[in-house]
Amino acid sequence: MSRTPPLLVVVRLAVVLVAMGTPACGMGAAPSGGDTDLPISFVGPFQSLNSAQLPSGQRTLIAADLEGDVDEPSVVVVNRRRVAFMTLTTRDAMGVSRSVIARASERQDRPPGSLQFESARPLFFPELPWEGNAVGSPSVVVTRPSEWIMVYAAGGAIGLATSTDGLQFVRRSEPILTADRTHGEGAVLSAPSIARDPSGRWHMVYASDGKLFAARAPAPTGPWERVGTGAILAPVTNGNGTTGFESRALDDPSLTIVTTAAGRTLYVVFYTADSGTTKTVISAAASFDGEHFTRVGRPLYSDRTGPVRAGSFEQVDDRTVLLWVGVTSGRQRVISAAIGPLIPRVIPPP
Amino acid sequence: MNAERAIVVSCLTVVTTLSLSVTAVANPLGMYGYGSRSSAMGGAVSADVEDFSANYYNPAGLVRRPSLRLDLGYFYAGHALTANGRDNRVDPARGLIGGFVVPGRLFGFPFAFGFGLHLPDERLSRSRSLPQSQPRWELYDNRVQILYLSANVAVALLPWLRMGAGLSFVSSTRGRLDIYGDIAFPSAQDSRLRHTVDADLRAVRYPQAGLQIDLLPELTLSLVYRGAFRLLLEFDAQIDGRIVVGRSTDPAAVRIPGRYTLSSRSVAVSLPQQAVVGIAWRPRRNLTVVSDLTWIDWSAYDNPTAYLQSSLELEIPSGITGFTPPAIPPSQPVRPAGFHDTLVPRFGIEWRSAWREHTVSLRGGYRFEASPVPDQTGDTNFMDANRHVFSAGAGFVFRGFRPVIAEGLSLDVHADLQWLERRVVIKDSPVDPVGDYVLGGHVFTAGTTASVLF
Repeated sequence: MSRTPPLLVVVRLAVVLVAMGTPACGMGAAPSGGDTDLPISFVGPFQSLNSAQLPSGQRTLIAADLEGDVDEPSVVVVNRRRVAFMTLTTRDAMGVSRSVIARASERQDRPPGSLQFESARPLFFPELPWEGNAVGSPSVVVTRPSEWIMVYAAGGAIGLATSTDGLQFVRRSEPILTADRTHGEGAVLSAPSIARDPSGRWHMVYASDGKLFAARAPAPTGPWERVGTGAILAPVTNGNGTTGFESRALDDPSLTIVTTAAGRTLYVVFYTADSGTTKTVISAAASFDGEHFTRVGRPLYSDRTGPVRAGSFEQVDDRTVLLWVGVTSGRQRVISAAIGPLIPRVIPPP
Repeated sequence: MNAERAIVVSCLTVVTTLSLSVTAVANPLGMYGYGSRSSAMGGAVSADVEDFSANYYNPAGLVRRPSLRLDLGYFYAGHALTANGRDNRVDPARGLIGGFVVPGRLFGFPFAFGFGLHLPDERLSRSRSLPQSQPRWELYDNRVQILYLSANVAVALLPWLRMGAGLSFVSSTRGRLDIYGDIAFPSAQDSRLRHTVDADLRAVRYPQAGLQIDLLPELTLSLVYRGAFRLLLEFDAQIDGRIVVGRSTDPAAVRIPGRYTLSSRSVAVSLPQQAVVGIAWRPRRNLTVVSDLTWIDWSAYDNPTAYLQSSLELEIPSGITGFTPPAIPPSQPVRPAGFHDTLVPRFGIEWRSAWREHTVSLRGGYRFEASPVPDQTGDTNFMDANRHVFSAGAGFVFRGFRPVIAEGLSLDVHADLQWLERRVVIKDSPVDPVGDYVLGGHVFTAGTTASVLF
């Protein structure tokens, strides 16, 4: 027997092998994988919830019970149901506006997380001497179901209120923070937002004179200590000197403190950026120390119908977040939400 | 030994090799192994290989084979690669493997021709161009989803010296898409468009060569070189037509002629050159211990991100005001991958025992692959981590088929587990769009090879 058969036999075998295998390879190929659940941060961009994600397909999630505008939402989740706090502005017959803090919760006759809210109703009015004639811009943190902490703007200062049920709030008689011109602030502090870091320390960002400032304290009651030597974020123009999207003023900061996958504490501030046009946009900045912030440097969300204002940030799960916003619907200001980051994931429709 | 004949045979070897017009090749083999025996021994077989897997591990080994050998097998590699604890569902790699070794004599010298095949059974090849910042399991993505064909020749110039070489070809892709006609606005369904597609597969070649030197009867040294190649993906697209404001059938509708061009250039698959030094020690007749050390030139690895260029030209008719053409974003520079070279140690052992007229073999292996990927602190996100690969297998040679099959039939099986160390990726920027993440996971591979030993 020959130890080496004719080469021709081998070549024919190879040809048959390839001929049989090649067509099979091209058939029934599965889509490419490897792109599932990739890591992504929450610093946008965001997009409006689509009609399938919205109850009744309407983007207005919360509106005033009566004639009026709602804005600057702060949404918390308690027992799987959302409760929203916001500024409610009404005008009387003389055209004088009046701002109060309002509340709206997800309807009890719908499943939790339905995004179907009751109408916004006034929660409390300006009463204390220092509050002047308006209260607004609430920011609420629920540390446990019986401990609700709210900071709010009134009379050019920032006040604190607490509650055990989210319905009845008790206000401190004096503001917890007043303007300090030596720190670069204007006469009025506004739009406070608070959050607690993993170590239990409290942080607050707020707006004044078109800039954003930060303070921190061991407890919501204080003492609040200002961070750094001035504003943490101020309007900027583009590098080439042209007007940018955040060239005029920054407002409505919303502070979120998250822990990254590597265990680092990340301070994220969403804010309303004003370039002086009729429209505003939402952008963000973040910091690892709560003091030195880096801007995203581009708009993360805008609304085609008019100015948008940043509200609170809600982490739905580790892949999806909602950014609550104030937008214009017809002639009213209403509360809506944007979803992010832009990954192919949807919140199940109610 | 006649020196002139040796030179002639060597030249013939090279010429024969260069003339082989085998298409394809790239390399899932380095990741998952090739052939059950070699895989079970950690791939540390460059000094001790003679089956079809010699086409990859060391072509010089082909000429050790005294008679014809045909191999056919299958392998499967399943990935459980996670980022932040979530399985990213990287596609499995699986397919047919096989080949043959045909020994003979040429000008009086022992000579062999070998052919190796890896044939994915889901797709022949995959090319994807992803955004630069998109996280990706770079070493498990395109690179392991490619057809492999290899042909090699080997010659034993001296009883203790074997050399082999091969030349393989890969096909790079160049494509062009032209779309022309009318684009109706705002009713896109009224558009009337036609298109043409033109795609070319162009050959890219790379060499491989190896030596086996028997220092002692029980000790063999090997040297292997595998060349580098870059599989390019080039794509051009052009939309040439008119934007029709209104119905495209309406002659009074406003028509804006325009042209949009897009050019994409990327390296779909890049295989760095490698050099291997190996040793095989046979302290006893039934025991073989092998080890390889592989240098991989990862520093030459290309970033697979596509470089995009696009332009938009609109000829706005006079009389139309207030229309601003959309801005085209500037091209983003493709950053260097920044990989660093690695040394991969491999170890293997094989123990053989006779049972009646048959032979049973048990095998084990280990290799460690340090990740070539640097810390991903910026805007690239090549996900990878150090790998420990543990492998095991068994082989059975059944004899008793003489005279049809002189040496018998063999069946080899293997399995290996790649365990990826936990790796924490920390970003410099707090506004990084991906943020910090933690990598880990494992890859399980199993396969079998059946052979006919004539």
